[in-house]
Amino acid sequence: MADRGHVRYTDVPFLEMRGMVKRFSGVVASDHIDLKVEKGEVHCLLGENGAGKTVLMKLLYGLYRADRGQIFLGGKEVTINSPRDAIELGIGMVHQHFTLVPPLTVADNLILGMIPSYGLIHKKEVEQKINELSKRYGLKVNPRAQTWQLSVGDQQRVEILKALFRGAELLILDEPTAVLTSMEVDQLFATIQLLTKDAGKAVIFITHKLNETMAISDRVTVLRDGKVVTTVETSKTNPRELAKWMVGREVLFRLEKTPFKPGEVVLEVKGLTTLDDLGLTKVKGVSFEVRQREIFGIAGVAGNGQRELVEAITGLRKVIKGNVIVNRADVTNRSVGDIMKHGVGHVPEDRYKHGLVVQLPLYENCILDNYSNPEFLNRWKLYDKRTIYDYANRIAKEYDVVMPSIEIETEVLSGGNLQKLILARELSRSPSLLIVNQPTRGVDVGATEFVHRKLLEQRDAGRAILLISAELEEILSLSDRIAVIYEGEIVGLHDSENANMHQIASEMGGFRKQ
Amino acid sequence: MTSRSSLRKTVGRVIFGFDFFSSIAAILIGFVIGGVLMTLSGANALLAYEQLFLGAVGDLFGVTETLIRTCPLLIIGLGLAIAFKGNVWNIGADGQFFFGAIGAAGVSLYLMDHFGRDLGVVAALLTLAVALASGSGFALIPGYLKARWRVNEIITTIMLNYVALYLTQYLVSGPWRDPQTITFAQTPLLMPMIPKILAGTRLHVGVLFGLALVVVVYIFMQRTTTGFSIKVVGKNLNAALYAGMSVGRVSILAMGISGALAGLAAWIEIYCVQHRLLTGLGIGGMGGYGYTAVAVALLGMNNALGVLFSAIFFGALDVGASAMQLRVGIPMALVSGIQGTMVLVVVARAFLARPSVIRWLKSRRGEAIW
Repeated sequence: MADRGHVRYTDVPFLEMRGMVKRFSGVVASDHIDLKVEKGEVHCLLGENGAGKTVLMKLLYGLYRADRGQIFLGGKEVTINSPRDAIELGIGMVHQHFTLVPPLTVADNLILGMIPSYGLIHKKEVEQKINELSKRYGLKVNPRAQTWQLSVGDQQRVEILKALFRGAELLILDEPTAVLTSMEVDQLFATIQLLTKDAGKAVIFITHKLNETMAISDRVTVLRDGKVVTTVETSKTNPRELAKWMVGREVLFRLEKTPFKPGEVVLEVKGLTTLDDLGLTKVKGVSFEVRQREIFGIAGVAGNGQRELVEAITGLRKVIKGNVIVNRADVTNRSVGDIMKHGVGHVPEDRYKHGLVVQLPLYENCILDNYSNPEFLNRWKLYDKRTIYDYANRIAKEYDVVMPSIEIETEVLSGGNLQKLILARELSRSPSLLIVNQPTRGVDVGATEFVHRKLLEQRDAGRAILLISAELEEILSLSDRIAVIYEGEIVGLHDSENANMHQIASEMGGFRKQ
Repeated sequence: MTSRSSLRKTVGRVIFGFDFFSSIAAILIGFVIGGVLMTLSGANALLAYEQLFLGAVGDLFGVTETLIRTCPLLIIGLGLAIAFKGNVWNIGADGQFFFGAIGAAGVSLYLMDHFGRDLGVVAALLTLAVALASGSGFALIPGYLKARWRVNEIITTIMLNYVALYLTQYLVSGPWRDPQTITFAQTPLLMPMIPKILAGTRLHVGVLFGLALVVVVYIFMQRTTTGFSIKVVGKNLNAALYAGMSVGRVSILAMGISGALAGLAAWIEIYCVQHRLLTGLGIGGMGGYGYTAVAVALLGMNNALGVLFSAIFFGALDVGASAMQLRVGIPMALVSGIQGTMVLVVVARAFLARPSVIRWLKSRRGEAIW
């Protein structure tokens, strides 16, 4: 968008957040973040998942309370303890997950929670006001429609209307395009343009997509690991630079890698298409092969279909189109247990959600997905505790899991130790294909190095490894071949020999070869 | 050795864990509120409680009656504990109990028609098998509906309770009615009779079944692959899916097992205690055993040993309450009120122990959760 020079940056900005700190049980999610937003400005918060964008905005909207920091509106310090406070100050937020009540009409949803104290609702007035707002900002929606009948795009428009209806002067949009079709994205951008340029409202736009950032924003604040990397005017930067700020991380160590000598094809994915939880197409006809003695890396900003792709391969999610072939057997849409038996090991993205049952003791987690292995049973088909203990102790020792005892509650162990334990458990089944999704997320440096070394060791031992990671450095230092996934499609395929980090980073942000 | 040490640990967890203290607290709160109610209504609460205690365990009669009341609560409670562990909320044990009873009674009546009143061990085993099968089969309806179409089992099981109850009512007042009893709607005496095990009391062999089942259920949950998958499904559905467990199979199994145990409890009530089928079968001072057993399982933390303790407690409460009513003259309504309060506190305890509530409490204390 060429003509966006209407914003004036002042000494007393419309919104200023100063030194915002928020810790979650030891993890610093927001580390002294400063942010300034002007009236009429579209300000992008750019960063990977987990960079702290949403946390910062939840601090502003009163959903979290900051440990430290100050918020100023129009130069005056304000205290925001709840969304109600935020709304009264003219701050509106559209969440990733909508907060509408499905059986109610659009109008009912808009007035929900703001019924005047005398208890009378003037339906006509409300509808009239909705029509005015929707006309002015291009938010076409029927106030009498029932919300459950609306498309996702319509629901988002209702959410925006809701915020405007309550007098929002500052609108926070949390990854608003994630659920939209490209046409709906255009409509949204037109609305944002009207809100800012014409009506002088401020918009904070949370995203991890570079092209959107370039298209819609006046300024960008790049966040990484809960810190501000930089704030720049969009016209003075480029996608390449933004990509580097967003994902770029110093290489901590160089890994020794033996020459690439691939064997037979173990995993073949052909034209795989699958949906996300909302029923939208999330992976669009992806094809690739992973061979023995190969680490095949899939790079991409989190949320571009990686999770759905892995779930479709491992049987957790339905494949709509295409095939998954493991060791020459077609396992498309077979059960998880079946696919496992074909030689697939899986280190899941979220260890607490999928990989472990934290309320159970450690040794039970060691047998979580091989619980029916006859080796663990005695002749009456009962678990033999000693065998299980020995096995659990053995793999824990082999993989350097630091723990007081195999009987302790799982939740007390650190993320790195648990990740090592899951890796050990998966490899103890000697899979011919190992799928590792975000293997070092939330893992300390030492454990990261250990996991990396083990992955290379397993590659040399002949296993096929599919590595999915949002950390570009990790992909670059481990993979033999690299595919880049963007919006559910493979947009680039590189040999690690001549891979160009900046090229890959641009592809991750949706920019193909320039 | 390891298994014994883990048994010791389980016992330790039951006796010294947070759960145990919260269960005890629930009981105490129930007694205190009951005491206040009695005092307000002009009765001597201490005297009443003394009579309650003496009535329940004061003499051989009290003890054996307590055990007889404990038996069905224990057996049904064990089944429900398995279901609850797997996050299957079977509130239909009452209906499964009656359905088991109907099945067994039907077989008895048929056998008596064809072979006379002198029925032996084979008949006993046959009625037992049918009681288990029909209790379990009745539970499989909501189990299958949940597994196949995710129909909420709480609603279906409660609704099916009425189906079973009214079917019983119809049978005992119609086709199966004993022509010799005019005042009551009940079946004739059902054969075979299972002999008592202690002369001069009503103590029966079912109590031993119950105790044996405590061990069986404990081993089932701790040492079998099926028990393990029930635990995992109950605690973390996503992890169960990831581990290749069939969640539907677990729902059906958990339902089937708890239904079978309700059927077993019904068989014991008929052949060891009442020897007839009637709508009053399986109703204690706190209402249907199938409902009381929900509280028994929750108070016992869905743990085999915990369920044993809580079943004895509820059994004693039931027997003691009748004594209290008889000897101190506390009106029936108040007795039910006291018992209801305890059940309420027990359920509130279960609610307070939920992770979401604990998280909420923690967040109130300023410990953030992500």
